[in-house]
Amino acid sequence: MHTILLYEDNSNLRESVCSLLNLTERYKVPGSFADCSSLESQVRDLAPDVILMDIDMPGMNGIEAVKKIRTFNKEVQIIMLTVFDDNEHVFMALYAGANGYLLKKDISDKLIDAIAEILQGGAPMSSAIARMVINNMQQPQQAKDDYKLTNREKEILQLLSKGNSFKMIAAILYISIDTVRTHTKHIYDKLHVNSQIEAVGKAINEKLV
Amino acid sequence: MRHILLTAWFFLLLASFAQAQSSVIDSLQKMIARGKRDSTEASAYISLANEFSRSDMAAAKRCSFSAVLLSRQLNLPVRLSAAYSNLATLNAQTNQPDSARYYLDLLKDLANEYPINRIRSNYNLTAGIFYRKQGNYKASLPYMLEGLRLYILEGNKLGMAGQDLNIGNDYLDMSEYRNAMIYHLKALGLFEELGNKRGLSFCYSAIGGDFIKLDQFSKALPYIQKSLALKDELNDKKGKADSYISLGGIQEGLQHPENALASYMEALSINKELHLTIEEAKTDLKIARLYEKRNDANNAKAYFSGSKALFLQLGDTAYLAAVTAEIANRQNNLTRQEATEKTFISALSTSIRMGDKNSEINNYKYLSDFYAKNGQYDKALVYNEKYHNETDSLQNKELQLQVRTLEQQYNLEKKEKEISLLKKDRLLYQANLQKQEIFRYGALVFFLLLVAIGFLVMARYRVVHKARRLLEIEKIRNNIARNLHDDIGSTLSSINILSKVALQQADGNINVSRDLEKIKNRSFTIMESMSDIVWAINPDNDPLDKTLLKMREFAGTILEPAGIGFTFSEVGKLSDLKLGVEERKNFYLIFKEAINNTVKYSKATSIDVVLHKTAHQFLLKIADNGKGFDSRKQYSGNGLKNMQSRASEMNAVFEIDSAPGAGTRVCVALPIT
Repeated sequence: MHTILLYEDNSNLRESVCSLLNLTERYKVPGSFADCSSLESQVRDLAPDVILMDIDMPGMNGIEAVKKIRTFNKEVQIIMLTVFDDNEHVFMALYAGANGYLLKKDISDKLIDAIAEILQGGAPMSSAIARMVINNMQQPQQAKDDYKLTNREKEILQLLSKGNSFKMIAAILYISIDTVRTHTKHIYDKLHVNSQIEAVGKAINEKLV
Repeated sequence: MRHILLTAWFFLLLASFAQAQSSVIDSLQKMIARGKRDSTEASAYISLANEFSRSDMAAAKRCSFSAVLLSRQLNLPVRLSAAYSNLATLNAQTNQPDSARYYLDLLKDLANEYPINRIRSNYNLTAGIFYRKQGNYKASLPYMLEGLRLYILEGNKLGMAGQDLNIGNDYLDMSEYRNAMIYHLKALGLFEELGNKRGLSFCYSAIGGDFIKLDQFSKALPYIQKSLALKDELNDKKGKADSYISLGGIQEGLQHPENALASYMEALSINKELHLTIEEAKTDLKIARLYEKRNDANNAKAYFSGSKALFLQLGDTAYLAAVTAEIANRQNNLTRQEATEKTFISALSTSIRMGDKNSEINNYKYLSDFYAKNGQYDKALVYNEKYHNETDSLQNKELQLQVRTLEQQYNLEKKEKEISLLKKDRLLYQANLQKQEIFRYGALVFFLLLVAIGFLVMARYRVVHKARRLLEIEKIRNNIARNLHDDIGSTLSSINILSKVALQQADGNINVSRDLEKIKNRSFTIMESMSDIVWAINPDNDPLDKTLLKMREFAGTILEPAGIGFTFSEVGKLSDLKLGVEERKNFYLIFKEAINNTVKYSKATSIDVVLHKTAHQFLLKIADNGKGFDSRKQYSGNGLKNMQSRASEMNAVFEIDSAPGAGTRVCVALPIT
């Protein structure tokens, strides 16, 4: 049984997501919070496997929260919840160390699968996010190689950025969908695991670049 | 230096020119005091003689004599000729005609010996002055004319001016006023050109004299006054004496005998001071005549006698004859009639021989009066007629007119010159004005440009400002939409999730499940269309490839789970294209509707999407291989209608072509500019 924490300022949504998760009996939700004021103690005390994190929240927003979590916990899987998928914030969150994201309209149908997917190692990535990753790779000169993406990962990123689904990519590259997922997971990992990347991300966040 | 000194001696030869400034005399004397005994010293003597010739005749003679000795010693013929000329002229002026004649002959020999123009013109000029001094104007004139010819050959303007003046004076004394005026005016022009004050003073004097002889005193007066002023300025004593004589004549003519007498007396004292005996005698004569006019017989007699004595001493035949005749006329009521008659006749013949018209006329009158008194009326008539003829010829109106015309012509020319100068000034002024005008226009153009640039900048600022404002408004709108959507989206999401949760707990109750399914689907649809709108109004999504990306992504997410294969192809340069918010939204929603319809109704296994840009339109073609429908029939659903209205909203042409069993082809043609 996996433990899940939820951060969402909209109480209706928080409530319904909890209901949905509790219904599955696969996950338990020891805490759901409207803000991140006691984030560190909550995460430390409750030691969740997965954190569902809203991006737009009053006080500390989702991105800052992810950054903070990553300062003391690199293991917990973080899924961002957002209304928009073309949002730069999603990318920033991924960059800060989130493992994936989910559009709120898709929660009812995809949340359970998404959590399972993330726990297995893998996450969906929209073409918009893929493009942002590529752009970010191309822009700052030193960041280009620092992602240390393999050629395959770059290939998948390119295909993703052109709007291809995992299935289409699998078909194009003659690999299984699971392989695509694994690669995608690695791409996410490389966005935040590497300390140098964090530095760059930090720089970008604090408008140092 | 040599040139300056060489030209300097001309002043004397022109019968007048000496710079009486003591500074000139000082410097010349210093030059001589060095005792170098060279040509420069000879020239200095000559120049010094010129300087003295107007004030100290004896000194002038001494200098000239020194110049003669030195020039002979150094064998300098031109300077020698100048020195001879000076001596001849000085002697003639101080009434030593024999000495004058002696030097004139020496000069003549020199001129014959050396065929040098300068020497020949010296000779001619000196001879002219010599004869003039003797009152023999007829003899003087040819020499003067020859001198002029030589100066013209030489191109010596100063010489020419002086000669013009001398010739004019000869003509004046011969009562040929027209010619006199012509030459005097020529001289005046040249002197003005040369800026020679001394020459000008003589010309004014001469022209004044011309007018006096024509009894035009008021016209003569300003010339004489100008002359007197200039001579005073130049300290030309001899000249002043001449001018006083003229002034006296004018005052006499203007009926101011007292003033006239004063002027004559002034002249007399100067002439005495300078030992100019001839002039003194002539002045005496004038004073005598004035007294006689005023019926002051005693004074008149005294001055007549004085004059006669001087003329006698001088041996001036012409004047002696004239004076004797006048005295005789005064005495003609006396008994010595025969002697008187003889005196008149001899005076007449002398004056005719010498060319002295005035004396000639006077003698005619004396004879006529004499015969009339003696009852010899036939003879009186003859002389009276002659007197009148000559007087008429001398003073006829035509002549006066001619002379005045000459003067006027001269003045006119002068004025024209002044006008042409003024014109030049005006041209310059106009050029200046033009410059200023150009500058002014330039400034104006510059100013206009500045204003225009200002306007452009303002306009641009406005445009930029407006664009920025629009962008800001768009951003604000986008933000509002996003916040709203975030809020509503979250709540809708919760409804959506709850309906799902409820659905799972429905426990096979079909009615409840169906309703819950509807709630779930509709909340999802609302979320989706809201998110589409927010996507469309986001300025970040302006580039067309973002729209294409979204279309492709949407097609993937919808068609893949449905197991429908699809191709996506682009024809033409799509990246150039930029769609507005409305167009972007409508384009995407038409595409979405078409894909949804295909998934829901067509049972197709593949879809081909083509985006095609031509020169004038942007085409979206969606073709499936599904079961098709009769496109002519009306369908109750909103789908087709929506697509149609969205197309017309952005002025695009919407076509749908389908038939049962033949697939469906949707085409949207958006005109582009």
